[in-house]
Amino acid sequence: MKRRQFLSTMAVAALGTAVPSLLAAQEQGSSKRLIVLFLRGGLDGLSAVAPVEDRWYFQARPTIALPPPGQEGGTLPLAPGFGLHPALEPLLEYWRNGSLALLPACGLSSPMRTHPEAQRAMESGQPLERHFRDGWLARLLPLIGKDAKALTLSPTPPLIGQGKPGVQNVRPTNFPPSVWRLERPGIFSSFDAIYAGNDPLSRSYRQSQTVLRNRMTELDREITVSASGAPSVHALPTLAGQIASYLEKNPATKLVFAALGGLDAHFEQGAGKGKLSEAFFSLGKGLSTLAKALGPNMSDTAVLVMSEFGRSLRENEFAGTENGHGTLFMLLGGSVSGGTMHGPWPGLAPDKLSDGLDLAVTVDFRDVIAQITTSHFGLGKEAVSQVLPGFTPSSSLPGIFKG
Amino acid sequence: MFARLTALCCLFWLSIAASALAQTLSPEALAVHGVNRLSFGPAPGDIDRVRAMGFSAYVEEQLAPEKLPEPQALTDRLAALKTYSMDTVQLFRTYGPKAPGGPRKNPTMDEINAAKGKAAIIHQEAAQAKLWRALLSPRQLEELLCDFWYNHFNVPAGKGLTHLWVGSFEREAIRPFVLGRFEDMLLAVTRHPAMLIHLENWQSASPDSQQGKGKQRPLVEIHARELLTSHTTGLEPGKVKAQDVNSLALILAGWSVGSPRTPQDKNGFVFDEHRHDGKDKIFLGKTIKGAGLNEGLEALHLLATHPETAKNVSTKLARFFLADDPPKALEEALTKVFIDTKGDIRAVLKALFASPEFSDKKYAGTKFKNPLRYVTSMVRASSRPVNEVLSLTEHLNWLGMPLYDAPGASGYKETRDVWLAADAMLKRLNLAAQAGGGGLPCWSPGSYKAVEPLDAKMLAKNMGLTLSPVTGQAVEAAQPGFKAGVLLGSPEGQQY
Repeated sequence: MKRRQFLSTMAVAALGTAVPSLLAAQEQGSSKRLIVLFLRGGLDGLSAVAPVEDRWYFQARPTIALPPPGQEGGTLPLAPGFGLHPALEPLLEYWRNGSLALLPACGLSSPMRTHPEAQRAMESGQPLERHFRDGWLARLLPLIGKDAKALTLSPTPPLIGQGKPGVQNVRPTNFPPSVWRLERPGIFSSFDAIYAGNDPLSRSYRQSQTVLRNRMTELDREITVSASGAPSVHALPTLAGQIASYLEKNPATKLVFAALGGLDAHFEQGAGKGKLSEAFFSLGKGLSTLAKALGPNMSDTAVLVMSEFGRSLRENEFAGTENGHGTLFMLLGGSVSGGTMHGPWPGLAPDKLSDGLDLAVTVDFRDVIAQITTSHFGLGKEAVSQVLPGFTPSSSLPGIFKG
Repeated sequence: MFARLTALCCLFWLSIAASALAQTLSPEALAVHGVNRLSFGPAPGDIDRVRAMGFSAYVEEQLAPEKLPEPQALTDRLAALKTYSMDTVQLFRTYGPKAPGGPRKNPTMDEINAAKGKAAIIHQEAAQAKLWRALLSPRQLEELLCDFWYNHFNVPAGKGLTHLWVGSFEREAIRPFVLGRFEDMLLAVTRHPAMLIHLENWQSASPDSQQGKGKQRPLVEIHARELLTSHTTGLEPGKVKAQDVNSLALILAGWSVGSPRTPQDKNGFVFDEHRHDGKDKIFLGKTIKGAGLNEGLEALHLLATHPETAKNVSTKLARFFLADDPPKALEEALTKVFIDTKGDIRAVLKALFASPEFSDKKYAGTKFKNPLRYVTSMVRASSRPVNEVLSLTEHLNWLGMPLYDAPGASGYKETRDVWLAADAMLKRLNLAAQAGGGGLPCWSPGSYKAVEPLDAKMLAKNMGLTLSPVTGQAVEAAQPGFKAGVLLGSPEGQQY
């Protein structure tokens, strides 16, 4: 709790100093807005919206699967077969009033397992590109009005906003990167005494402990890298209020991007409680703060919550997860066709997984961007080919916006 | 001659010395050791039953599996697996590639994936059947032998059409012979389509045959090489003569798969004369007269009765049932039985279980459970009804032992060094903790409800374990809900 308060203070400080320099109210073009929240580190969609009737989910995650509804730390009933993480409870209101849509198996069509690679692919909107030059948010900007502006919140100007003028980046210098504590899982302590000898089993046991420690050091490093210096998701509740008031003062700003870290959960991610649960608490609270602060403006706003990939289906030996593939995308807003799960659910049976390992992607993330371009901003099909060069939208994703 | 006599005398004295030093297991302890070695692990009541009937009566019982009725529960489980009752030809007809109709067209990636996806059930059901039998069959020795011989003649699911046949290969070519004559099994596996495709003999042709003439590399030698080495003599590939490999390949040229789409085909094997040449061949120093299919039968007979084959098979059986490094005297005694009985596997096993070495105290509790045995032994000892076994196949994938998918020609090895490598211990202890906490999905009555933790005392009793003081204390000191996990992860829980 203390850490969250600390982060909040820092967030306010960062925006407070940066915002005045950005003041540039312009004549209003489109009334539509898009806010992209990019969760760096790989969001565990299977914990956010858990497939609580899928036996493979429980099989693959003996200690970190969420208990079904009604049990302690259990999920909240959402849709048939799915339960919402209890820490995301603030989102239920938007699910029920039809302004929150969930896409449970979204992502890159082919798996990429490193964070920077997958983040570049998602921000560029051109996953097959080798040399990234610009981002899809920047390419979208000139299409929605000649005076439209975009704001990105990131330690360094993010790829998503590069390549076109009109995008201003605010560097949250005062945000500390998310910090993880290196802890040794406690469950092995009983075996220390048993395997203290010099027999082959004891030697193998001690070897495995060394492997474990080395890997955890490695993972700790990777977790820091995956956040790319982005502020922790715990900053979101404060940041949300800041974004809303900034937009009120800057009606020309139509696109906002904020990168948040702290979703990488290589060890001890927990289930109904624990590290990931804390991150979800901030995510849920942040989203509802944003919706409330935007008030009536939510009818013209779409909030897209995305991440570079999901986590592995299988829990690893540290009660955490590895970098995975398919994940949950969320879309919040007045024009969103909410209260529904969108896109096919592939299931978690071994033969349905991507590479035999992880949740498969059934919805290409570019289809979501394409519908935002056409249905939310009301642009034509030719706009899609400018925002997403070389991409042909698929017909497999039904309308995620009303009308 | 004199040297040989001296060697025999030395052996004689050595074995006297060895048996003088040997400490024989008490009948009580022999029952525990015997059940451990002749089964996938003791189920509740097994040890008491064997103590009451005596170990030798138990051996007799297990050597005559046909007299042990299979429980209805097992019959029902197997009946529910729809591909389990299908033979090799039926499996091909139902799940194999479809006959091209009209102009020949290569299937698209989607079509190939769809066909593979549909056929994946065969491998999956074969693995389930193996686990159901391991868990529920009273014919435990027979089940162990099916596993042993499958690995000896390994066919992994990943090669071409073999994924259709991992189950039928075991049912047709292995199971009927595991307590019979080695030569019969050798013939059955060698002519089975799964093996012919796995080792590529099905497309082999003699360069001097009608079909092989003018072709580049018509003769395939892989199957011949494996037959001469891992399947029979156990010699390293470098130690067999290149000429013998070549002759055997020529002898087997024409042993191929049938055209299962025709109704005449009954077992998928066909001898294609057009790929065979009629010349005489020299094999293992003997002239094999050009006689078509019969050349192969003669060659297999030579291999099955080769002294190195007797030694290889006997040693492997001793390693499987007694110790990673079996005593030389036992190897030699069993080799002699193999030769004297013309490869009667039942006779070799009978001698093995009755040998003084088998009852020697120093071997009890020393073998390291491979993942299959580790998983099945904990489930068998748990006293818990098992609802499904698909989840157990997943545990085995995770522990690095996917069923029916061992790479290479010689299958999964039996020894400790193979299974104690790298991060194996970590994974095993995680599984032990999960199982001890009652958290194996195979026990869950619904889709996800956790069941009660296992009781460590009950588990130790069912497994016949005598715990070392260190293990005993660690089990006592562990938190409730984790005691049984400590027991299963201890050396006593991991060895047998």
